[in-house]
Amino acid sequence: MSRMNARQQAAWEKRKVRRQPERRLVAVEMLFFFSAFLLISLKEKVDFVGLLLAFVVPALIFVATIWMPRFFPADKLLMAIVNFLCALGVLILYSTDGDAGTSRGFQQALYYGLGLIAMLICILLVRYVRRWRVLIWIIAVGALGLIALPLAIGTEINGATNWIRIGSTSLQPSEVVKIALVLILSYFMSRRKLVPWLGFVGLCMGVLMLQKDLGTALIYYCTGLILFYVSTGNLALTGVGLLGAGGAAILGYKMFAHVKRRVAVWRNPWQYYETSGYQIAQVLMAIASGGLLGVGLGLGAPRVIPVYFTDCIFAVICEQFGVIFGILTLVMYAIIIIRGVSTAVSARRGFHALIAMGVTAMLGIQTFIIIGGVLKLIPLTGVTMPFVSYGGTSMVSCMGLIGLLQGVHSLNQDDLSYDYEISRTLAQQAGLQLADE
Amino acid sequence: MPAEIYEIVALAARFWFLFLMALIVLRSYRWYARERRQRKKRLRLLPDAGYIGEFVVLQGAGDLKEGEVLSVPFEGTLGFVRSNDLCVPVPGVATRHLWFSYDERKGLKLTALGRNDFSVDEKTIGEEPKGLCMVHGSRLYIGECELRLRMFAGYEVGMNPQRMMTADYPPQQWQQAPYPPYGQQGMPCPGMSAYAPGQPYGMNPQQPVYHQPPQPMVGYGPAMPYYPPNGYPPQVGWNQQQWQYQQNWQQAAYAQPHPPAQPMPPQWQPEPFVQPVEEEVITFHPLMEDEDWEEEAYEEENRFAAHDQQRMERYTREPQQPAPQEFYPLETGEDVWPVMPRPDEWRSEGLFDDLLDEDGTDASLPPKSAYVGRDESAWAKRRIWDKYFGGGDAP
Repeated sequence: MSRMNARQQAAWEKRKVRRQPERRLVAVEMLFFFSAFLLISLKEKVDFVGLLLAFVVPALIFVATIWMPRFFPADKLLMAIVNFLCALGVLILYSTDGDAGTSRGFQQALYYGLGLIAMLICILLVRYVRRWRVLIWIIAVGALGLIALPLAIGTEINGATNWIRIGSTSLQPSEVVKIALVLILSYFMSRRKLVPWLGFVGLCMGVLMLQKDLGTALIYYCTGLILFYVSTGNLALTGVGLLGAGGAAILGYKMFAHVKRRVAVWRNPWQYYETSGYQIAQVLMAIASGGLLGVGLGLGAPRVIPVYFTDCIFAVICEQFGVIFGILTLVMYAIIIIRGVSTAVSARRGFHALIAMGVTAMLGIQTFIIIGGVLKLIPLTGVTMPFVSYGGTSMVSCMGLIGLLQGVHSLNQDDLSYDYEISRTLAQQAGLQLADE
Repeated sequence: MPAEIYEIVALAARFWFLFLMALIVLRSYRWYARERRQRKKRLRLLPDAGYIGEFVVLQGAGDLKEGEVLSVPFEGTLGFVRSNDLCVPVPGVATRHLWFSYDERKGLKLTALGRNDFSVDEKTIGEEPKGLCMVHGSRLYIGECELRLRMFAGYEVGMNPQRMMTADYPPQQWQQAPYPPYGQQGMPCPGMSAYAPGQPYGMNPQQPVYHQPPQPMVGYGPAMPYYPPNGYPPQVGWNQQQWQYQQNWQQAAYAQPHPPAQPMPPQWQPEPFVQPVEEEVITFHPLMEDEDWEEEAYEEENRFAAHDQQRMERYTREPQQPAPQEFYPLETGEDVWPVMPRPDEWRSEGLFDDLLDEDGTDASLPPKSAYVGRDESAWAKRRIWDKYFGGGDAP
């Protein structure tokens, strides 16, 4: 290094910046989406929206992964993976828009931008709010009011009364309440206040049961149970909770006809191909037709699958890009979960650790429920695939959850840097040098 | 683009997209693995990261011995069983006795779980049911044991110096103390530091204290800290911890009954050169009989060669006796005399190293700890390491 002249030194520094892992990863992601949107936009005639997305989506990835973390010590790897999944959702939705005449791809790109704003707000919330005592009660009351709102003014979509319509747009409050649920449960468990914790979970579950939103209820229940076990370490009571869930499932199977029908379809969808088994049969056929490498971007027949743009979007991914691509997508979800657990373990406050664990559990359970349902591992339940499925509420909710996780991670980094700085100063004073300097 | 051409291009592009996806996942995984290694390395450099201080057992009971150190995390439970964040296996301590949490303004706040009783300094939890706060130097009386809190650098809080000092020394002494004004710098913990004035704060590699008797203390009592000029409070930090542990070890070692004096071990010394007896040696040099100087040279050469040979044989026959480097510590076994890594060995212990790299070999090692013996905090750190960071060989 000492023999380099100024020009070589500058080139060396430039090369070092270029070889940073986040830049290398983001460069590949940007190349992926630029080429994919370019290909789609040239499918029949030159589509200027597609060309616009070919530049806007990579720019969003760059801004969210490289530029935003300059303001706080965020987890750039998590950011890069989440942005990739969001952009993948935009791409898939845009590729299925052509023949149908819809504009879900473009709308999803807008939701992606909204999600980034929600993520930023949640990061700031975790980083800078120190006194949660009053705020958490306000959030709890607001969340309960919001989740109960569809009972009064809600509309029924796909059998569940969990939507409210505001003007020309519709909103699913139970998705937004997910962020509040993680915050509230984490706060009360970290303060060892079991009564408000139990009361909030019970009220939410009751309202969701009244709305017949079983998928969201399952996510809430499992998240609460995991947070309870992580916080208390009480295996016996957690086992009781699991047994209670099993008992409730059996009771629901005995009592409700639609639960019975769903289980029957899950066991043999081909028997009910004409009626209730049509969706899962089409999903399985789409995955099989895609094979290992897929039928090609923009090809295939994804629109024959009912609600292909929300619940069954993983089948569309497998059909167009192949099963190998689908497996690699699952690997990315696995990395998100591992990073979330790592963030939770590294947190120094119980509240922050429980927030990170709650976010990880919620995203992991949601991913498992929808992917398992699409792959016929478990009965298919109507929840969205995080970051990928179409829907503004889902996107904002998932990005908000990631914002909570990023906030905890940034606090961990702050604490570690503080310790390191003190040790480095004292080591310098003693005439020693730390190893990584 | 015509549909047929698009289909061909899309079919070809499958491989391109699959390649890019594989590259993304591969780079993500490599990035993840690299950060994991770096994190392990950083945690090894900062074995006390995540702790705000430690409890020193001033009066032990049961399985908790006097002099043991319990590292204190930011928050958690203190109780009798090991599932607590702080395990105090002492009679009189409940299974889950109290909840503690660190507050940046108040210090370590202790709240009773149930109706359990404890006291901090002169206050009991019954007097203040909302909780008692501990600062640097506060004493916790719980069950049959007495613990004292030592907070790490950077985690001290505003405290009441008068209350602390009066708890240890009469007012006429602490009022005349040559300390910097309290509140302006980190509060020393009376009775916990033993530094001579002028002694560099932290480690002093040029003056390894384990070969030296304790430094004479000036002023009054043992509380005579040296304040670093860097603005950081003196009582904490990783290096300071190492120094403090070394001090604790040294004091504990000197508190033990001194082992009986032993004579200096036998030392090998070369035998003095003895002039061999001159003997008449008749040598025959048929070709050079007349050259006396040749004969004398030959004789002289043989004489020294024989002597060298004798020396070498003697040297190899006799057992090797290592030259004693220092009289202290006596080689009486590690269990009798605790071994503390000296600062010049810290490099080989992995505490400091310029050559640490991201090759994974160093990252697989567990964090080294300079704790002496099998203390509780080392055990707790070991468990955390084994449980969450992959474990490894025993440090």
